[in-house]
Amino acid sequence: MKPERPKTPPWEVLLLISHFLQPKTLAKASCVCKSWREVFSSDHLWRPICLASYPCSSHLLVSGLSPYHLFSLFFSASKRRYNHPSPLDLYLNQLFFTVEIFHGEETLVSVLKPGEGAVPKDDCTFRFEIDLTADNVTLVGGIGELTVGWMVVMKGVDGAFAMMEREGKGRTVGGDQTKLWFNEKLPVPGCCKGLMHDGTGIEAEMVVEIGEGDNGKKMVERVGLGLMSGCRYVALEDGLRYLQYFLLGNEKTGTRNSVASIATGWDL
Amino acid sequence: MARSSTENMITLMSSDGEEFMVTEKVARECTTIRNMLEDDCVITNIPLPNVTSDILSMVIEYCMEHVAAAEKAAAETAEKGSSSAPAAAKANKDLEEWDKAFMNVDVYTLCDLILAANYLNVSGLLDLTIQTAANLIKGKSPEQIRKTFHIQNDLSLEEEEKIRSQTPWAFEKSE
Repeated sequence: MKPERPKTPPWEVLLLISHFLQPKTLAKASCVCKSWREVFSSDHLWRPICLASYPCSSHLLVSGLSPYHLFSLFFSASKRRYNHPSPLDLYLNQLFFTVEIFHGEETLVSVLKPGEGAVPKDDCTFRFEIDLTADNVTLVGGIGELTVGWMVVMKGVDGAFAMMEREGKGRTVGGDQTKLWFNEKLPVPGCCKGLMHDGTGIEAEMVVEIGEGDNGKKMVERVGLGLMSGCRYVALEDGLRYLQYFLLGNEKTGTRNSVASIATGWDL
Repeated sequence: MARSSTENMITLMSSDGEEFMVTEKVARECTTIRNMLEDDCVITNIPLPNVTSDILSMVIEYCMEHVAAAEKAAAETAEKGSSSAPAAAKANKDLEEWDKAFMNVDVYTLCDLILAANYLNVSGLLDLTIQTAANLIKGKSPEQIRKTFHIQNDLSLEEEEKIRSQTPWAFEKSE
């Protein structure tokens, strides 16, 4: 009879095999048993792997950190960029839009529209149109004195977010006096604050379309609403995800902010 | 090359006392033995206390097959003046097939072969056996690896959880 076999391949064999395995396989093999853990998570084995993948880790390795652990940290972090964005848990039909137009202290328009009632300009971007022709809004005075407000409120008032708060200085483009554009920079979700540079942040946009009524007076016909990033309208889904961050709170903490307005002048 | 030098016979003795007569050319496939021969060319009897007879016979079988294949290729080249690519490719493929069949062994034998190939320094056999063993580990869960290698898990639940938590990326569903 053959002599009794050792329960596990001898460590010399494991050591030889270890150089043929990828980090992922090494990590799994480390969980097999104690002797495999010693061999497959050894500093001796992981130091060159860590240095080959992350050459700048040499300083950290000198300071005595385990290369196995260090590689894992670097690798985990680099994998996160491929993570799927947080699941979308907010739907258009859960939202109300309020739109207000002021002339000085006078309120010209104050409407509340359910999210699904705002007409999307197209299928894919966060861009809506609200028709106000039926509201018969007559403009008095110059259009330069108009200010606007736009809020997003969750049904049941579980959350509210100010997109625009009495924003003034509407601009006309190219001498076209029928459209007045308002823009307001929006806060960046807390986790990415440091990344906000001029022009790359997110902006709320409102376009007030002015037409002429039967009596020759200026009327507000339509209001266009949109979310922009870098001069482009954001995708509908991205717009909702942005609002979700502020309306539903940080998913990690699991807390729902009842009122999540972060916009300037509206801190509650 | 002078043929006579390849006809020298050498006796290899396994740990359990069995003797194997091989040509010097076959023995030279083992770098360890080649170095001994080059140090002292009158050696004809080499004890190998680290290798059992059943493993040694397999190592010799591997060396003989590979020496024969190399000789055949050299002979064909000499005959035709130059080697024909398709014939060489077929010979390579045949040898690969032979290697594959040769690796149809249980994990204990495989481990012994790795140790012997390492000790005798047969680089081709060492690569072949290690790659075979590595393929047995690749893509398996720790539990499947234990099953393959007949290993008792001597880690406590907490210990295993601790190791797993250090490399969570290794246990995610493959993308």
